[in-house]
Amino acid sequence: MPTEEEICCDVLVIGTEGTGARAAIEAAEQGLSVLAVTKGFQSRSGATLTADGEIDVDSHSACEIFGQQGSPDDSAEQFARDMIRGGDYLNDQRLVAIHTEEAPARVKELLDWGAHLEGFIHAPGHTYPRGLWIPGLKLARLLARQLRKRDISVLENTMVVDLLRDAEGVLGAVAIDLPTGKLLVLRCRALVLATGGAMRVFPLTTAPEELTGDGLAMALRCGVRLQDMEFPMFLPYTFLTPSALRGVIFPYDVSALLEVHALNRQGERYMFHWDPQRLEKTTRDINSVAAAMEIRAGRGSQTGGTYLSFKHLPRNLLEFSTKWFPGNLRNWRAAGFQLRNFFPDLEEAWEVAPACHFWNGGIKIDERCQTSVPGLFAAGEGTAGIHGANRLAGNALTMTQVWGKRAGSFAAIFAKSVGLREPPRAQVEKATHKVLRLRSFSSGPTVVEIRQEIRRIAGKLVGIVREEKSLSQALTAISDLRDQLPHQRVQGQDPRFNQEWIEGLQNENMLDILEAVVRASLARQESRGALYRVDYPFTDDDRWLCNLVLQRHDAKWTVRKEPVQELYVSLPRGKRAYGQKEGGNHAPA
Amino acid sequence: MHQHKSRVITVQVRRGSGDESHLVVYEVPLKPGQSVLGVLQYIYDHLDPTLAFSCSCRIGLCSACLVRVNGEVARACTTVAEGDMLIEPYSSDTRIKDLVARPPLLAKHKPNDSPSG
Repeated sequence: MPTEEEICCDVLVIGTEGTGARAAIEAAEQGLSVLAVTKGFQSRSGATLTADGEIDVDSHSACEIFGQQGSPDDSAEQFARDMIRGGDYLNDQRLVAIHTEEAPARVKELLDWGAHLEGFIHAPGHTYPRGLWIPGLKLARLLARQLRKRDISVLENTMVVDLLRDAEGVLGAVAIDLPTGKLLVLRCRALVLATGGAMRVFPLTTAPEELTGDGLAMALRCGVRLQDMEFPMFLPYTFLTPSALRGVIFPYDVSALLEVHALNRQGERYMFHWDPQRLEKTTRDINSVAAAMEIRAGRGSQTGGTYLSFKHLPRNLLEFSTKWFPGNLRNWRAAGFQLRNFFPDLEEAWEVAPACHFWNGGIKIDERCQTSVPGLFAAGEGTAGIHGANRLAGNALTMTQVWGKRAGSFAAIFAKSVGLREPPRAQVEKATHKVLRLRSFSSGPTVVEIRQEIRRIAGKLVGIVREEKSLSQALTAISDLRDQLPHQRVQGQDPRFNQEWIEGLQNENMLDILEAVVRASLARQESRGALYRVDYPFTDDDRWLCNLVLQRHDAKWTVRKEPVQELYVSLPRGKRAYGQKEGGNHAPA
Repeated sequence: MHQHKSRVITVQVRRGSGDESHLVVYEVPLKPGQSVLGVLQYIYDHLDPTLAFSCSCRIGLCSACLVRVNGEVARACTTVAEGDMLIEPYSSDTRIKDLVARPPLLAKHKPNDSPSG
């Protein structure tokens, strides 16, 4: 039995970046002892630092408070309407109103803490320009400095294994200190999950290593309700080759700036079938679905994607783009890569494919970030209701600040009303047993093989466009894999920084979340937002304008339809072509 | 540059923890345009899962994958593997295990921090 060390705090925050940091700051401001833990290194992990940099506020506030060239005609209410339209009407309208009303104050705080606005943009889906520009990396490091100023305890390289609860609610968690392999029992009065999405379930993703759905899976195992799990979001054009660039770059931005051609293997611009007016400049969900349908029909590229071509553009026009492209794309830099090193003359087409980029759904929360289990709060990516079935550009960073603060605040209020309780021994042992099992001899598949199989199922049987037949096959494959999970094999038993243990634990989390995606996708017999069902290619507002809420007791899942509340945006009726909101028609060919 | 044919390279990795360290040699097939991080991932996935290394964003932003490649400090994710190489932790002082090292401390207080806190 590994030695357990016990650490007590008032509020435990899991996740230390955009959302987690903001929650920790808020709980500490209320005078409570806060412990923030992260699986990686603080400011060097998580999704926040990868954000390009838009943080949305209504355009009126952008003028009045931030001195940008916004539009005084905009309002928090108009911003909310755009979010609900973008989310294909599945958003929780109460949460959206809070989101747009509180956004300006949260961004103002960032400026007070030393952030600089580096630009202001108008992204598709927004009626007015709303994207204030603060690069994610700078935001993450600025928040880390605020944690240090307040002497908030941060445990890095600490992976939480499972949450602990009794009949009254959540009271702590079991974690591994990765550098030593020692088990920790973390005790708290209230707990905030700020662990992000589960994009790494999919084989091609723009998300960092840590985003394996740990928080969602732990919440599910603890009895929490998940919602809108059928809507992982994909970006249409990320690299498939060369291998260093695989899945990690955003040439999507280039397609919004230049007339690029998306081609299938026959050299055809297939977007003519999907959106003859806007073509490649249509929204990213339609672009992703169109690319996935080409690949599915056997018209994909050599490495299984589609082609993005610049060949029709004159050389001197392309050269001039290095002078006027915004931000990171200037001089054809994308994140830390110089694209021209890989594609010297842009004579060849890029091989690209849709990659999983964001998690629209997740833990069901109320206005106070409370989950369905008392004492457990959640915020940021991986919570449901704010973005509905699809997120607007620039709204992920806003989510971290608005909801991080709320979670910290309401968790602190809750923590003041309860005492620390003794963790039930059986639960501590159940969690430690999961780690111990990875230390015992097994002849089953290796943790690497299990991870590869999960991603194979996610890529081949779930994918971007879905249908009943392959989703049912996915359920069977997941069930087979679940039988093998207790026997997954670890080859090295050095307790210090054992990557195989991390993967073994992540595998269970990814499998739980993949199953939730499959069950929700199977249940929804229509196409909407980020979900496209090949066998139900229409949006059916009469039957499916509802949220799907999932829960699991032991091995039994329930999927329940909950109607969307119509508060200030009226809900559409009838049946419409996928992607059609008002006006445009994107009926598949 | 992504036109190279696949070939096998020899990769020496400095492993160990505390004061102890030793070199382990791996033979890795090189894919076109493969990064040093891709080489490490190949070793972990196919040759030796006991190798410890760290990475997060994989796109040259977070610096979690800082290592020394042939003596030069570099991000493993944006450095293209050109041929045989020696990979070491970026700093032996802060090494936790193998290539995992505590990253350099970030500046504690930048001048533009407001005093209000």
